[in-house]
Order: sequence, then C-alpha cells, then structure tokens
Amino acid sequence: MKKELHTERILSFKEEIVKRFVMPILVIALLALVLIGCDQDMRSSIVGFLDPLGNNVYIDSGMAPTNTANAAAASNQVAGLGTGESKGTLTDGKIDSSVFGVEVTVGETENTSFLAPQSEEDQEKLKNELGEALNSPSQKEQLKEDMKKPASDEQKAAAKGTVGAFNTVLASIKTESGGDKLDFLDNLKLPEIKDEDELTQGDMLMLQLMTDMVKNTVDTLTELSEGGDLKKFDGANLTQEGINKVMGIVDDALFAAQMAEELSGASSIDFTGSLDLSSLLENIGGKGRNRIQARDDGDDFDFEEVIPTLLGLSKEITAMMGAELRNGEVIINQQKYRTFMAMMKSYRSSLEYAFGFGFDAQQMKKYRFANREHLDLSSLIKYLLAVIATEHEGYIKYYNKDKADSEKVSSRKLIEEFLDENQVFVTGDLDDDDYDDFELAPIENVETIYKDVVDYLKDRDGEGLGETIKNTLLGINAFAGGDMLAELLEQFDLKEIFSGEEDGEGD
Amino acid sequence: MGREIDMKKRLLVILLIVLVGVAPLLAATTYGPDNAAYEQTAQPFTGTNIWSLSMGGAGLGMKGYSESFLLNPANLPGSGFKLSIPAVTVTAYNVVKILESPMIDYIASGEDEDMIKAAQEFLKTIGKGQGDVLTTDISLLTLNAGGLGLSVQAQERLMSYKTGAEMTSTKLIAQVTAAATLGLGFKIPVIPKWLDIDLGANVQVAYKAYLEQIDAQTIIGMMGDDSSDPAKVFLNETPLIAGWSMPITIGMNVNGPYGLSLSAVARNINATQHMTAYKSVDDWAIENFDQSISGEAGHNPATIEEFEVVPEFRFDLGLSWSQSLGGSLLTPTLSFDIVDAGKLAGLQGDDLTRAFWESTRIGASLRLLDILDLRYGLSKGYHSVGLGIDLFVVHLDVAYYTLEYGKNLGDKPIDALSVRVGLLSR
Repeated sequence: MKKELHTERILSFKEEIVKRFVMPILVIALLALVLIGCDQDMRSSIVGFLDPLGNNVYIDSGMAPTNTANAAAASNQVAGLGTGESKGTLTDGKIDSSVFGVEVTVGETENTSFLAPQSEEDQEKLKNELGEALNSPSQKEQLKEDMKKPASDEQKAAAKGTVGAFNTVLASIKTESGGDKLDFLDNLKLPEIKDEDELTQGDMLMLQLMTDMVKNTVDTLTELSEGGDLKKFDGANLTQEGINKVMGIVDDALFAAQMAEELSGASSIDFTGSLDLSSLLENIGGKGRNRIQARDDGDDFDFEEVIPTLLGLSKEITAMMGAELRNGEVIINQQKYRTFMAMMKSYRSSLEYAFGFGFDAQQMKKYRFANREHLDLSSLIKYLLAVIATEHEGYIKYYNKDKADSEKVSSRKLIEEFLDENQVFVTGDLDDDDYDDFELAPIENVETIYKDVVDYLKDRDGEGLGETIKNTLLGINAFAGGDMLAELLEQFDLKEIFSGEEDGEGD
Repeated sequence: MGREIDMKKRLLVILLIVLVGVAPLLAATTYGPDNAAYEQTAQPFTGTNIWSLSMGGAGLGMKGYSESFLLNPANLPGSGFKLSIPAVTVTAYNVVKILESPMIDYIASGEDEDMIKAAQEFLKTIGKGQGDVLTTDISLLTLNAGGLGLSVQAQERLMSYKTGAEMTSTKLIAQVTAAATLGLGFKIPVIPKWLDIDLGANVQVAYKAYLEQIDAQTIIGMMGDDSSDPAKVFLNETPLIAGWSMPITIGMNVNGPYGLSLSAVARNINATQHMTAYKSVDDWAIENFDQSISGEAGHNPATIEEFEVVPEFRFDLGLSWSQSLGGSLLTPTLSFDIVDAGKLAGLQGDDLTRAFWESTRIGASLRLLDILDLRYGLSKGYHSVGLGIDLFVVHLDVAYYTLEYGKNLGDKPIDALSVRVGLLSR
C-alpha cells in the first residue's frame, strides 16, 4: 500500500514535471513553428486575427481628433502666395532692385504681377510647417490634398507673370556677374505657362520655393562678393563661413526637390524595393568581380530578368502620370499629367541647381544639410526618370516648333497611345510564362516623330546636358552615402547614347 | 571552396543586417538625438515589461510581479520575497507585415539565394520614420525582499530609421544597455485596513552603447565587395557611442479600501546621459579597459565627440483596482494610467482632447487559479492582448500589442509580439 502510494507520488511528480517544465518549452517551440513552419493560408488566418488589433479605437470612433495643424498652416500660407503683399508688380516693365537684389527689365507684358520672394522669416515659417506636415503621414495626406486645389485667379495671374520675371532675373544675375561662372542658374529656368487654368496650389508652392531660392542666391553671392559686386564673386576662394552660406542655398534646393518628389507622388514609390537583390549582387561582384569587370568581360545583360521589376515600377509610375485603364482603354488624365510634368521639372532643376555650384560632392558631404535625408540611391532613378520625362517633353516641343497646328503632336497623347498599345505597363500584369515572348507594341508614325531625337540630343549636349546629368548623378551618389556606383557613373557619356544610334548599334 | 567562403561571407553580412550597425564615416555627423536617426537612442532605459505592455502599457499600481517596482518603486512594500533568475524576453516587431511577406517561405527553403531575398523582404517590412526591429531583454536577477528591490538587466535593441519609402533608405542602429536598479520602499499606515500609503524610490545605474547606423547601401556594397572584411569594419572602423546615466524614480501609492489604489510616479530625475562617441569599438575598449578587442595594437584611442542627453522629467498618474475573489480562484485587475500628465497642462480644445487620449493607458487582467492570466488593454487607443501561464517555477508570458512611433496618433503604429520565459518567482 505504502509502495503504491510512493509510486503514485512519483507518477504525479513526473506529471508535474511534464506539466511545469516541458510544456513551456513545447509552447515556445510551437510559437516558433507558427512563424516558420505554417503555410501561407495559416499565416493569413493569423494575420486575419491580429490585423484588426492594430486599429486605433480613439481615431476610428472620432474621440481623438486628427492633428492637421501644420498642414493647415502651410496650406493657408500657400493660398496667400501671389496675393496681397506677397505679390510683386512691374513698374514700367521693371522690377526694382530691392525685390531680387538686382534691377530687372522685363519689358512690356500683359502679366504685370509676379510672385515676390518671401522674407526670411516667412520662408522659414513655410519650410517648418511643410517639414512638420511631411513628417506625419496623416498631415502629409492632408497637405497633398490641399496642394491639389486650384489656384485662385489672382494667383494664376501672378504665376504667369512670374515665369517671365523669373527667367529675366536669372539672365540679369548672369549679366551682372559678367561671365559664365553662374551658368548653373540656367538649370532653374521656368517653362512658359500655357494652361494656367489648371494651376494648383502645389504649382504655386513650387514657384514660390524657386523664387525664394533665386533671391537667396543673389543675396548670398552679393554678400560674398568683394564690395557687393557680383563680377568679383570668386567661388574658388571662399572662407568656411562663405562655403556654409552657399551650402544653405544648396539646402534650399534640396528642400524644393523633396517637395516636388512628395507632390508628384514619387516619394511613395519604393524604386529599389522591387529590385532583385540577389541578381544585383551577382552582377556587382558575386563571383569576385565587380559590375564593371563583368561588363568588360562581355557578359550579356539579360533583359528578361528585369522585366518583372520594370513592370512593378511602371504600374506605379504610369499611375503617377495619371494613366488609368477605363473601359479597356488607357486614358491619361490631363491635369494629373501636367502636375506630374511640373513636379518632374522642379525636381530635376532643383537637384541640378544643388549640384551645379561647382563644389566637389565629397566636400559637400562634410556640410550637414537639413534636407539631404531624402536622397538615396533611388534618387538616381528618380532623377533619371525626371530627365527622361522632361527631355521627352522638350523634344516634342522641338518637333512641333515649325509645324502647323494640325501636324503638332502632344507628349501626353503619345504616351497615352503607347500605353494603350502596351497596357501591361499600366496593369503590371504579366505571367511568368509570357516573359520570353514579351515585345513592345509600337505606335503609328513613331519613327517619323522621333527621327530627329539624335539631333535634338546633340544640340542639348552642346548646351551642357550630358555634363549636367553626370555631375548631378555623381552628386546624388556621393550624398547617398556610398561610392559603390561612382566608377560606373564617371563613365556616363551622353554622346555614347546617340553615337550608338547613328552606327545602328543602339537599342 | 571559393564559392563556399563567398556564401559564408554573404550569410555573415545578412546576419549583420539583422544584428549590427555601421555606416560610412561622415565628418560632420553627430550621434546625439538632434540627429533624427539617433533620436530613439536618447530614450531612458526601460526593460520590456510584458505584463504592462499586454495591458495597454498600464499598471503603475499593479503589484504581484518581481519587476513591478521598476514601473513604480512604491510597489515594493508588501510585495514579500520574490526572486527571479533569469528571465528572457524576446520581442519581434512588424509581426503582421512579416507574416504577410514571403520572407518566411524564403527562410524555410534554406537556399542561400533565398536567404538574401528573405533579408530583402525583411527590410521591406520596415516603414518610414523611426521604429524597432528586434529587442532581447535579459533579466539576470530580480529580487524583492523586505521592501528592498534589486534588478540587473541587459537589453539588446535593434532600431530602425527610414528616411523614405525606398528599401535603400533603411538604416539600422544596434544598441546594448546594461542596468542595475536598486529600490527601497516602505508603508505608512494611515487608517488601519482602510488607508495606507506606500512610498518608494529607485536608483538605476545604466550603461548604454550603440553603433553608428548602418544603411542598406553599405550592406549591399559589402556584399558585392569580396575584399571587404566585416569584422574589421565593425571593430576598427565603426564609431561606437557609449555612456552612462543614473536616473532616480520616486513613486507613491495611496491604497484605499476594496483594492483601490491611486499611484503617482516621478521619473527621469537626475537622468542626464553622459555620452562619448568613440572612433571604433576597439578605441572604446582601449580607452576604457586598456585592451584591444581586435588585437590590433599600436594606436591611440580616439573620440569624436562628447555630449549629454537630458531626458524630460515625467510625472505619471494611475488608478488601479485588484481584488481576489474566492481565494485565488479569480483575481481581476483594472488599471488606468495617465502617462506624462504634466504635458496636459495649458492645453485646450482639440489639443487637450488629443493629448489626453494619447496619454491614457487602460488595462485589465484576469487571473484564474493563480495559474493562468488573461490580459487586455488599450495603449493610446491600440489594442493589446496577453496570456500568462504560471507553472510553479517556470513562467511563460506572451503579449501582442501595438506601439505608436509617429508624432501624432495614427502616424506610425508598429505591432509587436513579445515572449517571456522566466524562472522562479513570477
């Protein structure tokens, strides 16, 4: 009896041991298995349970009002741009030197009002409000919605007048400097506004940021010139304090680029996330070679490998342009396309301006820029996208230049036609099996329209296009933190692109 | 053979993606919280308290756990003798995103190429702004005895900072903290059985060290460059920022009848963190211990900068109720805390409403038979759930909760799953 009781106690103790010691270990192992071992369906079920727990009761019920104070303050300030005191007026076709720091003669024009540069305090206030709003997703969405609102009639008139005034100011500063040392200012030149009815608050904001940037440039360069004479400005012999002041202008340009990126929608696209990293690594040195060496060895670039990446990105990029599939047909929304082009232009010109001061990128890295954070390797792709979009637009203008209205073509319509013929770029849907047979469907008369592209690019290269692109790419790469692509970018030569075309070797 | 070494190296780098941090040395970089990338490193050390987190972050007046005094030192009096050696808490973040991504399938396949894809998918789960990736807490010793409390903890925390939507803008910062906390509390009876007051104070000595941020480009660069030596990079070329602090926490519980308790805790007193940025881990070791880790002798240790971080004083308020029903059959607990109550002062209208809800922590737990705990809470409006199994000397706790990392409510919620295994006392 006693032995039975003892045995019973031992068994009971063993049960306790199993219950109290082994169970927890099993539970931990089970938890690990839930994460690693279970299939997609099971994981979906777990997600189905966990996901609703991430909702916020206070926001969903309206108990905690959303904070949009910064977005509202920024939108209010933008809505006042080009109106009241922030509007400049031409007097006898001239802008007084107190406005931009140089006297500007615009001449006779219908548009006598323009966006006047903001005071330092107002610039700072606007940038702070915008910066705060961009840091908060809920505020950012509110801000982007506000920036889509149409500009007022007074603002439209000021915007139209700003283009002429702005470009004349740039020319005047260059003349005042008496040489070609400020040629980089050309990167900021604004295109003529033809469709002012479609101007939005976002356009007004970008115009204001550009205007402020020019004013700050003139003030800074004048301050750093001997006796305030721009002709005596010597960028090569600046003190550290002087360099820091110029870097402040670069920071302004980086901020403008960030705003353009946000307003265009490009900031929400993960350009690098879609890349196949393992293939990329294989290309950039997986077998003891770097990419340059691999190319020199004559390795062929496998287009099929990048098709999924391109399609994934193209779906987002075409949506950004305003393309959508409607009743089986691709339509590009005119207003969205115009905003896209305006933002691409601003993004490109801001970056080219930032890296056009002639400072060595490595030297610029030493300065702590408040607005450099948004620059990373994907900025290279975004910048190239902006260059392609704006140069395409530029070529179409070049093509249309001496043509009758009936013969003129529109870049939007051409892209729309192309996307309609190749709807996969809008839908992003292509089965793995279809990759081998993937071919682009051309649009009608495309050869005729684009036959002068090489001449156009040659002309543009003569104006310094290739050098500007290369410098900007190198600058972004240096800022992005690594020198991984520097060697490759150093070899960039725009001439190679059209010389290949001429020889019939281009793709 | 060469391919094998190559693969090992890649796997090492993948491991480094998850565990350690480094970025190119930039002359003008500062490593303090004024640089947004390092903002989270300034947070005063708080171990992962799984019970509180599963109750929405509430529990200022919640007694009964060996680590209760770390939340409020006034929980020490009457807590009896408790000894916990050791306890490990592992927390993974972005749980839902990870479950939704194909990352787990890639890991399960075990192929080297898929491991790189898994790392890529993992980086994609990290959202823009600040966040956490993985935290491991080791509580080496927690002791409560006669109104005295002692805790020795270590925490490894991998934080993230992402400047844009792109995977390549991801930056990781690895931080290790060691902390020893000594607490003392006593009870002042006011009206026997009706009203008494618990008072307590903690002094903590914390040493924190974090590496300079690593960005995705750097890792990709290292993966693509066969000549790179990750060990050299991390030991000799990566700045390490380290320093100490000695914060004091003072707490009070006013205990009324029927298990009601009102708590008030003042934190971050004397909490200044004295930090030094060393040029490398090796420089830190030579400077502090006169010993090179990498074995590379012959250089003088160098520091980049010294700075101080002063965490803001915080005053928390809490109301809790706990009552045992039917012996130990059922013990419900309710907690309602207002964190950083001082910041509500001077606010009006929507700002006050918003700040109030952002400060609230609400939690409930139900203990069954002194074995099973079921917990639920709301932290800033986000749900949290938890489960505790108490098996004599082994205690297992699981919590799933959401934390807000954004400036405003709803800006950047990140969900987290914590699992804790502890021995001896609860």
